[in-house]
Amino acid sequence: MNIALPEVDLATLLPEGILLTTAAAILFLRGARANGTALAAAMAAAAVSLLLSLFPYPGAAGGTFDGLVGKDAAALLFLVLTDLAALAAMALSRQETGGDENGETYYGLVLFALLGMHVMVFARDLLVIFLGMEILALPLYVLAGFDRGRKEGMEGSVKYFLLGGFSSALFLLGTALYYGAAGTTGMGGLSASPAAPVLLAAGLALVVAALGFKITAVPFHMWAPDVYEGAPLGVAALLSAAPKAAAFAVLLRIGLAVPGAGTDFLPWACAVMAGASMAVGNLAALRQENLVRMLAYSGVAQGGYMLMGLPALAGDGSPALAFYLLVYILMNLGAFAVAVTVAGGKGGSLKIGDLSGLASRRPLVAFAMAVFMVSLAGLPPTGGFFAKFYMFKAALGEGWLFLVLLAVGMTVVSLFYYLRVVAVMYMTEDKGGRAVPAGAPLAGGLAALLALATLATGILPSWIFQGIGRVFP
Amino acid sequence: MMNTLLFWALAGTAAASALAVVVFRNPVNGVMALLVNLLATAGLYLLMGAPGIALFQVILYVGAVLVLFLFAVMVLDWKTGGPPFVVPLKPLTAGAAAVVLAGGGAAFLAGNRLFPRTGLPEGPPGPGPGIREIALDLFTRHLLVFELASVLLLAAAVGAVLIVRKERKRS
Repeated sequence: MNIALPEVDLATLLPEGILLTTAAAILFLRGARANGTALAAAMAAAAVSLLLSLFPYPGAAGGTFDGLVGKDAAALLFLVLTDLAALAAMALSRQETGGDENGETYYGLVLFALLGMHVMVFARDLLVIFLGMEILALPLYVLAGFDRGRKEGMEGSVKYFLLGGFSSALFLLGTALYYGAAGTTGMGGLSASPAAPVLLAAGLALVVAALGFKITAVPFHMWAPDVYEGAPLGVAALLSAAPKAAAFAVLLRIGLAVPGAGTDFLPWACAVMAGASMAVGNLAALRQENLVRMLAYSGVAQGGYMLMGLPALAGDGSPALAFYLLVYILMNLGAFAVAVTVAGGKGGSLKIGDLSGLASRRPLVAFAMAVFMVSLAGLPPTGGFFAKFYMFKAALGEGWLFLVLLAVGMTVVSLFYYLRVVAVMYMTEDKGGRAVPAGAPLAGGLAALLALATLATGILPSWIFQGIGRVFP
Repeated sequence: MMNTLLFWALAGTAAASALAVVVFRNPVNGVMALLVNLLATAGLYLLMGAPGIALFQVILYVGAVLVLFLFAVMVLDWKTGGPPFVVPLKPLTAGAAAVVLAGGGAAFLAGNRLFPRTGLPEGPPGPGPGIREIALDLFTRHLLVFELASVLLLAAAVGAVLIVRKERKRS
């Protein structure tokens, strides 16, 4: 009897253990104050996980479970990003879950989703990535329909479930084809010259398509507006940022593997998805009256800008992508934080017109929203400008001139709908008679914090960018 | 010879039962036809020397998935009546077209040698891995995958309980 057990180093997976334990423990909370306790516990767990990713266990980079997983510097960076997004999204959820008897379960499910994202980020094997995607997706299907009083919630949840199931099937089929071509489900199979390049290309195409669902890249974006609108605002905020970070981590891992026969189509595929996402997202966002739907289409467009980093991986594509993701998480979750503070129970049906006169009613909130909109539009002195600047520079350096031209054109288009929000807040009179919603202190504080961070990324961009650049060899 | 006979018998059963799934009007009959189809496919796996896959097919699909289907169908309270068979011409034509297209595409690809067969072993496959090898692989190389699957099931169970919860507001 000779069984070769894998070497297991559980210290590497300590943050995930904490997340899982806390998520399970939250399910046992009962009583009148369970909701607040669950929020505090979940945020503490995510914060500890964030700290453990910032100050990692030294042996983590080497990997464990026979190299199925490993936390190299790039993985740690993306873990920090997902943790940041989840922390902010949980802080935005207090209002949504306060009146619900099962409100505490909400935070347990968010932690499960965060665990799934962690697995996606540090996995080095398509099978493990698939499990991470499912651990991420299943709680989100439930969370998207958490507000059962709203018809849109159930509709969005079912839509998300069906399309998500479809994308999971694509990913599995892609993994099977990849296995057929490479003889392994590990990412290492990419570097060897494949016996069947067409099979490998077909497998990778399906995998990339499935990841496209997660980053709402056109043509896989259809679910996003409906789901965001129906979901609680905190879940919409989480959906808009965290799965994107995890999926981009996987795409980087695939893209950074040695290119060869069967993978050479990937840059073009990503460039086409990037161009289509920028065009469709920005043009569709122009026509939205609903703030959350506008943010959903804006997220599609922003995903397109981030996708530009993948064809430019040989140059500065990966640090540009990571920097963009960081800024995107700050500004997009900031916009959602403002939406939560002014929604007052309206949730996803908040109209852009509802912000009218916000500058006179709540000047600080209006100013924060203006910062986020200016940053999303890509104007200085905010982080959004430098995110686009580094991204365009990286793409130009690799010769993707037409993509950059399209991106610049679409950025001009995006000015209309981002600045329209600012105009509505500052230049229209408050129609009066509308009750000023009772403030949401947690969301308000978060909005202030994120506005400062967005400005900080615009003031110290090169310092942050170089710090991120050191992560990628 | 015996193998060839068995293959054609099983393949014919599988194809006929697959058609039956589509044309039966009563969904319970459809599910039963699917049962026959899955068993025939399991038989094909056995013929190919993959008893493990055949076993999983029977346990997972016949044992678990089909029972779930039956539950769902019976809960749905279908109206019965009308002819026992429906022949959906349009889907059948579309299906036939798809088969022809896929077959043509496959033939084209094979003809172009885009799928070189160098990596594949010659001749019929030998006996595949048995249960022991699968178990060893599952608990050594795929230990993490195995554990993660349990996390996934826990998350799914929590989500399912949350979906069917009673609507009550804490006031």
